Amino acid sequence: MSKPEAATPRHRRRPGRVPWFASVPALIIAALFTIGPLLVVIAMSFMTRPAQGGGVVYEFTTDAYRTFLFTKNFTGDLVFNTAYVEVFWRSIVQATITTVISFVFAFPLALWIATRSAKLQNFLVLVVTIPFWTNLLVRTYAWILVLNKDGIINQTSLALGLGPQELLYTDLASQLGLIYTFLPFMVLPLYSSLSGFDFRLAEAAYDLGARKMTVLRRVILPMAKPGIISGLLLVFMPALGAYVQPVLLGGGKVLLMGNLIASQFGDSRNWPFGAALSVISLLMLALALIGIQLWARRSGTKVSLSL
Amino acid sequence: MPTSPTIGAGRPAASVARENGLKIGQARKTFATPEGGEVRALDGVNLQIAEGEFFVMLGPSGCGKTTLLRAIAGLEILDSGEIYLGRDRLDDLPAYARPVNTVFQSYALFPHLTVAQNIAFGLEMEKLSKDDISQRVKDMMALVRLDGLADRKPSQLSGGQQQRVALARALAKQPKVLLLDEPLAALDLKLRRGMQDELRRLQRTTGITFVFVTHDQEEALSLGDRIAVFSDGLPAQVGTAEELYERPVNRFVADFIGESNFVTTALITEGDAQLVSIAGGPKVALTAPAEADADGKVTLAIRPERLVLDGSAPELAAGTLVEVIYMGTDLRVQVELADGSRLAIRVSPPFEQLQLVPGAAVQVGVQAEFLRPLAVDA
Amino acid sequence: MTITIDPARRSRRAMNPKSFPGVGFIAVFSLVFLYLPMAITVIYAFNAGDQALIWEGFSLQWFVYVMTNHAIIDSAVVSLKLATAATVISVLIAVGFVLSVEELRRRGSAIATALLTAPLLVPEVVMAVATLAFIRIIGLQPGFTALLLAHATFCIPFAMMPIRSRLQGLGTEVFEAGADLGATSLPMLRRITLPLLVPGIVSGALLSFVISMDDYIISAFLSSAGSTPLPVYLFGLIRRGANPAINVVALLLLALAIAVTTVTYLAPTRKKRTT
Repeated sequence: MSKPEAATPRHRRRPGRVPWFASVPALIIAALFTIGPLLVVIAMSFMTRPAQGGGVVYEFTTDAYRTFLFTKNFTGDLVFNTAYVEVFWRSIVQATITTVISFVFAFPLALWIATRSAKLQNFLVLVVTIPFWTNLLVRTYAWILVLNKDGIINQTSLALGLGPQELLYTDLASQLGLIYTFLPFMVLPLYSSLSGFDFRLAEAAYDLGARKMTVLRRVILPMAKPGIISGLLLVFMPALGAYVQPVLLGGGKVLLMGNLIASQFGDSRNWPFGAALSVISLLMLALALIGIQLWARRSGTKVSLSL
Repeated sequence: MPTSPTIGAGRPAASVARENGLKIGQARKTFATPEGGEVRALDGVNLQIAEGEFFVMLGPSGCGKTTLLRAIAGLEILDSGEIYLGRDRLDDLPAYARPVNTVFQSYALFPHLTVAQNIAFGLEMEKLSKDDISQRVKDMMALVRLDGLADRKPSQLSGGQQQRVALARALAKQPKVLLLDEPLAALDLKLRRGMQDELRRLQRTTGITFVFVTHDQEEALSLGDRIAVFSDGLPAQVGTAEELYERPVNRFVADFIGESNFVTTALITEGDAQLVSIAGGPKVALTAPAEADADGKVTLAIRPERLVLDGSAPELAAGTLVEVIYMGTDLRVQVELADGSRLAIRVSPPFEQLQLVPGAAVQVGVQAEFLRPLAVDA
Repeated sequence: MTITIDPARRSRRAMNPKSFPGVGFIAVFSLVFLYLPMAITVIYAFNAGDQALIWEGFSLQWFVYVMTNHAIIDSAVVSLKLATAATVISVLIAVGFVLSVEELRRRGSAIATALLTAPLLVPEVVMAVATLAFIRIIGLQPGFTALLLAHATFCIPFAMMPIRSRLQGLGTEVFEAGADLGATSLPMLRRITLPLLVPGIVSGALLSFVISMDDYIISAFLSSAGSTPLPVYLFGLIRRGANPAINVVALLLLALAIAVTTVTYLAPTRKKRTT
């Protein structure tokens, strides 16, 4: 009997799948436009800034990294300079606040949605998903309207006789914008882990004498852990490098990691320093990611980025 | 109604082999577990399945029965070993080229195709003419009694109907062997009984070899011409339902099929006779040859319904009733023997005059032929 | 024996196992928080006055203004072209990848998947400056080609996620059934795999499209005078201050988000597996 086609006897493709080389275009794109740019940035961070304008001179130096920590004083000596470290610290603080406050609002919202009827749940998820897919600039702009000197908050404040408040172009505005834009990123993964929750478990806990808060803390919260971890990743990581909110709502007065890096490639024209800042922020994110992963592994949860 | 002349038409495997039995030789398959270990799913299986036979592979989950079925289908590749269908070697053919079709556990109907399109799919892959296909689809729908459902989607069918579509789809290809992977597991008990009758009818009318995997011993006993009981990647025993039930070769088979009492006792040899004495009872001569283990002991399997309390069989041992449960069709009784061991006994009606109450002293009797000596475990 | 209990804990709400104190209040507050600013944006799009925030009556004049404004329309066209092209490329690539990645060796497929999802974790600003530096090195200038390559790259993970989860949701048996019934590679792909992936492909395409339309930072670094995507142009407008024309554009983008989300939710993406 003739053997049809080239199916080698001991290794065969799974039915329904296509040969491995169909992965190649994806891998080429990823290698070229993900790995490639990152390698270039790493290389560039060790290059020399040209005397004038942007770009780099191909000459090895660690100046860019030294700029991060030190500055030359008027006598030409290097002195420790905390300005840039403070920018990074501020970014971490803002990202942390964003994550925590998002969670404080998102968890009750997700739990509330998960306890509605199936039909209402679908509708409410739709309601939360719409802001998720609404243009970031639109959502940020909406807050300009709210916080503006003629905005509803100030109009209310004037009507109450409290006088005008300086709200827009402040740290607070930028922080608010971050929370607003990232809230759905926390709600959706939390909901997806809570929606599968079998509330008979909560009933069992009540039956055993637990109170509401105990059930929340000891039964429901642990169930939501995969969602918490996804939400943490989806909020903290992008909030750390946020650009649009600090610029449009913070008025660019608040220097954060994101706009500091961007400005090095714009007005400041210090490409190697911008590259070095990028590398440092990537390292920080890698550390945060490892931290989250360790926490997840210790609590036996798999980290996943699915929405 | 389709009959054998056109079987396997248009397939590379349509060979001239007269004997189309399945022969599996030294089949081995090892899986890597996610934890880094290994599981030996098939440990050198040898098996012969005759043409036209309804063959059942029975065993607990993880015993290798499904792996063997998938290996025959071509969905799993053996590490080593051979599978022949008649004189044709199957194991180096890809699944799509084997004259073998499968009814999957989840039915695996194509959700985007209608019933008729599902049944036609395999025929279209053979590039049969449109007329032939529609005729064959019609025949199959009639064969499995699905008339009138041709344009439904699988999601609009009941579990039993989906099951029939899966059968029709596989049978439409007129395979030489039909493989069924626990096809009735998802159905409720009543539907399952009905489908069992249906399957037996289909097997008789088509004459196709059926290889049926199940973990349900009752289903296996009622369906199989022959049954292979699998344990740890090997068939522990192959035989008819009666052979397996009445003459289990080892403890696993005796335990897996039906209920058994297991009694381990010294094997006494007197001349040609092999005798046992249970809990101080009289010596009984075994009717089947027994083999003593290193300690000179033998394990006997005794079916609860073969033990009697009414003196209608020779005495085996004396004991005390400890538990009597009324089951309607029979009484389930536990008797504690002198040495503290217990025997489970089923007493069939009429049992009213036996006065079975816990605490009563009883004599347990049995015909010697029902003491089944088991092989010594390796 | 009598059971003494605080009367408050005998209420109907306290009896409901699914009700927790404060949860409903915070939930409703959060929903209002999510929608109030957008509602204001939408309302002021119909403002007759030329101040974004002082209501001077209902009018559609700003819609007319936006529809006849060349700069806005041109940038919208650039964005639509870019999003369409990036979506087609990323969906094609994602389908190929999802269907073949497991054929790479075990370790290889894990690395490949990590590589493809990496753009989700790298801060957008870093990706933007890095891509700008990189395209210069490979001899490209900012412009449509550069934008397209960058957009396709960050759209791939979004296109991939729903397609992959659809494929996983289908399980293996349906494909094994195809092979069992005699389907070789090509008929299997055409008759079974691709038709079954359609819901995943539709969501993947919609996500890619929206993500591409949404991007500001990477686009800002890679756009050139002739090819300015809508978000880049919009950013410039917003920086100059609130303006009813922006409200109109915001309303249109919001409508796009509502349309896309509704379509994804109405499409039966999540098919229940039988057992």
